[in-house]
This record gives sequence, C-alpha cells and structure tokens, in this order.
Amino acid sequence: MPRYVLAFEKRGMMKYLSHLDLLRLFKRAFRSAEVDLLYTEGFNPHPKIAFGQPLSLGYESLEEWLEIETETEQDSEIFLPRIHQYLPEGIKIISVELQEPWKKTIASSCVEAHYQITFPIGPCELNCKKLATSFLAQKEILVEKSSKKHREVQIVDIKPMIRFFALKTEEEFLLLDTVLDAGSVSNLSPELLIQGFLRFSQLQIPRHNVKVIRTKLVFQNN
Amino acid sequence: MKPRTISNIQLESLLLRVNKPARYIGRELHSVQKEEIDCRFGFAFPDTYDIGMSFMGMQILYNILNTDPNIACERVFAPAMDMEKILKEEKLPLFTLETKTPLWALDILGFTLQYELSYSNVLNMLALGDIPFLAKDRDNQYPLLIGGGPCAFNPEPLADFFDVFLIGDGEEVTLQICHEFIKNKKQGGTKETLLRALALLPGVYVPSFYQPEYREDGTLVGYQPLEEAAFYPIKKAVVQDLDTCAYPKNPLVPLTEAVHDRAVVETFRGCTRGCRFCQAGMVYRPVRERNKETILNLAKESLKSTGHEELSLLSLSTSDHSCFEPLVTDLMHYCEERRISLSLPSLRLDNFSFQILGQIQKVRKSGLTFAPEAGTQRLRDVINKGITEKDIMASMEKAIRMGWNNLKLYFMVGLPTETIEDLDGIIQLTKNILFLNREIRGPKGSRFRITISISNFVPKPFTPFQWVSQDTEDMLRKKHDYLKNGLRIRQVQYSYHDTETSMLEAIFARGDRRLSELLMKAHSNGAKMDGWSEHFHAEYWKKALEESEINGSFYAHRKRESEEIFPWDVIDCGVTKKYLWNEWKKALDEKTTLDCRIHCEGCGLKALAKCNQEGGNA
Repeated sequence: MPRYVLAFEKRGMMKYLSHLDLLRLFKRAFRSAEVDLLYTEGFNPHPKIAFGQPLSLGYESLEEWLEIETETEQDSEIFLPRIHQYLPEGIKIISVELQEPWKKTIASSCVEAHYQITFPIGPCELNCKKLATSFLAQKEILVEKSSKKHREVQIVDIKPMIRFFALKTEEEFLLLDTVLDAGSVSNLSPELLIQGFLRFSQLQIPRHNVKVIRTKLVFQNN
Repeated sequence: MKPRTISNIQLESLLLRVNKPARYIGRELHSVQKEEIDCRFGFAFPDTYDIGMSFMGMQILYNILNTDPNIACERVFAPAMDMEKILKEEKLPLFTLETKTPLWALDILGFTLQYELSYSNVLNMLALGDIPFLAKDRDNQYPLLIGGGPCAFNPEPLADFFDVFLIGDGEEVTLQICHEFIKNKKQGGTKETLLRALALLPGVYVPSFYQPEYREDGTLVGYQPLEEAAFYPIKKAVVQDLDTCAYPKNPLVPLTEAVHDRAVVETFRGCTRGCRFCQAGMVYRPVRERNKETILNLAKESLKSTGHEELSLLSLSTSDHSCFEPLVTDLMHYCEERRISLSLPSLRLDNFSFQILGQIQKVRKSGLTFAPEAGTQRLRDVINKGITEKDIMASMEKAIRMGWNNLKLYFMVGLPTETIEDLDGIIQLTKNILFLNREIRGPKGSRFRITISISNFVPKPFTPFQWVSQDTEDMLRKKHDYLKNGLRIRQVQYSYHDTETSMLEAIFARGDRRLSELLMKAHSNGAKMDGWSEHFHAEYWKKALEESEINGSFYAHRKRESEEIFPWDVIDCGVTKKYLWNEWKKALDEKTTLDCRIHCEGCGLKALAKCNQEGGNA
C-alpha cells in the first residue's frame, strides 16, 4: 500500500494542542479532504497514521513529520493545497513525499531533534560562551526525572544525550540552540535540559516563561 | 483606561500553567475573528468548554450572527478551576475566545440558561469579567446582558441580573436585538431607550419594566407594569418554518475533546407525546420538522466540512419524525460507506428502531438505554408516559434476543402520587428482565447487565406538575435506600442522583425574583460548578439560605393552589394554564392524554403559532 510522509508546521496558538488532539485534528482533515486512508483490521479499525516523534504540549515546531498509509495512490493536490481549508491556522503541510516501501517507518528512524529555547533574562550582562562551556564541562549533568512507570523520581545523567549546545543573547533574551537525542534508542526531553540548565545557571525564570521551538527532526534510514 | 483586549503575552503567560490550554485559545476550524464591527456579541455558556462546545444552540446562533458583516459573535465558557485561580492571581478578566475581549468590554453578553445548577456560574463569570451583577448598577458602558434557553421560561430568579430575556426560539430575535443595539448606538441613545425598543420585539422580556408584588404569605399578587412597553404576558418567539431557518453547515470543530465530538442535525423541534413531567415537551410546541432532503444535505455538508466521524440527530423524540424510516435508511447507507458512526438518541424501541440499531451496532453492541420513567402502569399513566408494561417487556425481549448485554433503564423517584408499590414496580421490572434473559439465553446469559439509573423528580414551570410539591430530601433518600436494598441483585448496577442538588434545582425552577439575594450570597460563599459533584458544596448553599432568610421549602416543597399566580405567568409559552390544570386533574385520575397527532386536546398553542398536527381542530 502507498505510504506518504508529510512534513508540517505547528505554530502560534496551535502549540497548545496535545498530541492526541493533533491526531484527532489530522484524522478529521484527512476525512474532509477525502484522503483514502488505509484502516487496520479487527473489531475497532482505525486509520494508519503515525507521527515521527511526539511533540510536547506548549512547543512550537517548524518541521514535524507524519506518516500515513492509503488504499490507493493519492493525487498530491489533496495534501497541497486542498487539505488546508480543513486545517486551523497554525497547522500547515509543507511537503509530501511518497515513501519507498523498503524504508523504515519514520517513528523508528528518528535519531535527533533540534530545538531553539528562549529564556527571558531581562537587561543583564551574560557571558554566553563561558556559561555554555562551563555547563558542558561538568562531569555529569544530573537532573530529576519523574516517570509514570516507576512512580518515584530518578536521578539521570543527561550529558551523553546532548549533541550540540550553544548560547547567545538577543536583546533581553537568552537563546539556546541545542541538538538532543530523539527516538526509540535514546531520547532526551528538552524539559530535563531546561531543568538542568536553569539550576546550573541559577537563572530565576519560571518554566512557563521559557519558550521552546523544535526546528528540525533528523532521521536515519538503515 | 483598562485595555480592551488581552495581549498575546498575557495570554501565553496563563496557558502553560493550566490543564488543557487548547480550551482557551479559540482559533478552531470555522471560528470567526472580526476586528472593526458595530456590535460585539459574547455568547456565554456557563459551564466548561468541553460541555459548551457540544451544545448545538451555540453553533446555530454563532453561525447566524457571524453571517452579518456588522456583528461579531464570540464565545466564552466558564474557566476551569485552575484557570480561574490564575486569572485572579494575574488580575486578568475573563475574555472571549475569538478576540480575547474582556467580558466588560463587549457590546452584548448573552448567556444560555440550560440548567438551574449553572446559575452560580453565571454570576461567577460576570465577576471574573468585571461586570456588576445587578442590572440597575450597569449603564451603557457595560454590555447589555441577555439570557435565553429553556430556563428563561421562568426568568424570575435571574431577573435582577439580566437586562433582557429572550423567550423561545432565538434564531430571528437575537439578530433583531443586535440590530436594535446598533441603531440605538448610532442614534446616541441610552440604555433606557434601547430597552424600550427591545421590549417591542417578539419574545423579549425586560424585567426592570415590571414590579412584582407579594402577599404576606409570600405568594405573588402580580406584576405592576412600570413602562408603557411592558406587555403582559410576553409571548414566546416562534420560528414557524424550521426548514428554511438557518442551520450551520460549517460548525465549529473543537480543538480538544468535547463531551460530544460529532456532527449534529436537528430534525425537528417540539414533541407531540405530552409527557406531563417534561417541560421541553410543553414549551417547544408546536412540532416543526425539517424536510428529509434538507436534513440529508445538512448532514452531508457538516460531515464534509468538519471531518467528524460521528453523526447524531437532535430532537426530543428521534423516531417521531414523519419520514424517520426513509431518513434513517438513507443516512445509514451514507454513513456506512464512509466509516461514520450514526448515533440515534431518544429512540422509541419499536421494530424498526431495533432493526436500525441492530445494523448500526453490528459489531459492538455498545448498550441500549430505555426510559420507562416509572415502575408501575398506574404511575406511567399519571405522568402520561404512553408506554405499557407489554411494550417494555417486548422491547427487552427483543434486545436480549438480538444480543445486547448492557441495558440501562432510567426511572424517576418522587413523582406525584408515588407510593411504595411504584418503587416495588421498579424492582419487579428489573427482576422480570433478568428472568427473561435467563429463560432466553440460559447460562450463556451470564454476561448480561442491567443498570438502573434513578433521578429525582423536579417539578418544572409550564408543566401539569407545576402545582405539586417536590419530595423532601429525607423522603428521597429513604426511597433511594429502599431501591438500593431491593436491587442488591447480581447483574444489576444501581445509581442515583444526589438529593441536595435536586432540591436546589426545584427552588430555582419555580423561583421568583427574591432568589437573586440567595444566588449572590451563595456566590460570595464560593458556590460555582454546582453541576459537578466534585465541586458542589451543599454548605455554601445552606449558609446562603440562612443569610438571605429564604425558606427553600417554600419553593421546592409547597403544594400550590389552583388559582395561585406564578412568577412565570409573565411569560406566555403558548400552552394555557387551564390546559395544564386539566392535565393535572387527569393525572390524579390516572387518565392518559393522547398524542397530538391522534387527538388535539386543545392546549391553546394555536392562538400563538401554527400547528400542523392531525388531531382535530379543538
């Protein structure tokens, strides 16, 4: 069956949509645009839709990925532009590609995620380079991770999962560009990095004032 | 000057701190944002987004008002507790979803009054929106406050708060109210000139134009008109032709899960059955149908524009549409081909309905609900439920034979004339169904479950039971316990409704203007979200009753005399008081009244609107 990989943006107010809400939203849009989705077998058939890597509620993204399977090959006009009349402002399809059948699913081939994280620091002098170097110079970067499975808080070292880390200031904001492990093999949530960084830098910024944008997901196929 | 909109920065500082923030952002598919307009109308639903977004009345008015280029209709819901707390901490007012306009800065704010237990939320939303409660304390710098919906048929408990009530169908009059508002604004009129103009519109009640007078015993003498435009009574507004009446083809699609995420088409308004406890069946007369073709087109268009995977039909008694069989057959085929599930609420369980249900629940028989309402034939006749013991058992047998494993039965307790035998009737009926299941399916029927769901009868205005006393909480509790004991049976699940909120509903359902004091006291004690058992606090209301020196029993438990003037007598819903009294007498004689389609009993409606039922010309 044909498999399509779609890239889309999740911007503006749409960042407050949960993963599940987003899935529902796409299901409805595909239905309206009459995309001939393939359904699973069984008592409770559901359409074959999968995301590359879930995006946390509150994050914007410039490039998210979605994979669908259809009964027949679709007219590409369906996705671009026709489906847009059924999508709210802020969700926008940016590319569509018919996936070669031998390729792994996007969910299983995702390896890293790029983020831009903005901290409002006010009018203060900050040596970004020094702060970044000393943050990364720590032997371990330990943070608290609460997991639903274990019910208790675990202490984990996130340092090995940080692939890139650079700071700069712009007006009254501190901008962090970072690349983190993502996917099924190793995965680091930016939440843990934010926690570790705020503690290390001793910046007194409430979490809800920190903005996160995912700029890119990287996939590795075989 | 206070800012007339919430900035994005302010909004975003709230949203990451609350549960399900998608409830507060607006921006749904088919939502409408307008900048420069003559009238900004806030449609307020006094409960949370998840509930309000499932309400079709909002979708209808949203569509009609936004079609007018000079009017913007925006939505506002009651914020959840966490959002309310943060709004207060940040000193930000409650705002509309579309343009984030604080409630105080709107031109008109319209509340839909769907159930009495939402009244405390009305006050809470006004408080959060920086709007003074009392109409007399607001000049035209504040929005015009209007109320509509089923509870507006007795608007008196809220009369001191609202400037205007819209009684009956809102499709035409809401738009007229906005036009009058714009005209008055352009002419530089005052709130008084606006109210005088509005009072001339059909279905519009301006409570400040009437002064109620009470006797020493607390009953009403009548209303003193204070203005020339104070008509008495106010005739409800009626949309005579539903088929040509605007209905949304592009309904708003909730961004986050609502109670019902589905396309909905209203098939008809009104009901011919004449159940004596049912207010909707009385006040929404006459029956007005949409044509089958119109319904099919609306269903197709709204499914297409929303992408919903469920379609539901809306009416008081789904299978009573004159073209029900062909309509449902067509819809079923349409839905089946597209993997859309069809939901048919309030079905009467006749042969055709079973055939349909068997088809649409082919794979998973999700459950079947049935509402005998009372346990004996005698009591079902008193309430004019119009089904017999034989009907019930035949339906149950059919359901069992077709393989349903979960049956849910609804009953009311505290109905007029109820005795212990009627409660025994509920228990016996349950046992008979279990016995039937065992007979038909033998040991295979062990997965069979019956849920008995009990609610408490609340006497409502404009019903034949508007004169009766509600059972006291103590009586209701004893009845619940009696049933609980009798229904301690394997395979039976028993659930019942809280008695404290039932009494509160009864107080407000037949309340008068003096209750505004009670509501304000309850609000200042902290009452809100009374319809949510986890948020309802009986002590807030007990304290408020003491503080306002209001005797709740006077409203809930007092039996009224035939000649008593009611607070809601200021409204004419079409059905006459004489007809309702006759129905009450017939109820006491255990005599039933026929369906309007068979025989016209002369309810009086024909003086107010055109009625197309078959039954005679009385």
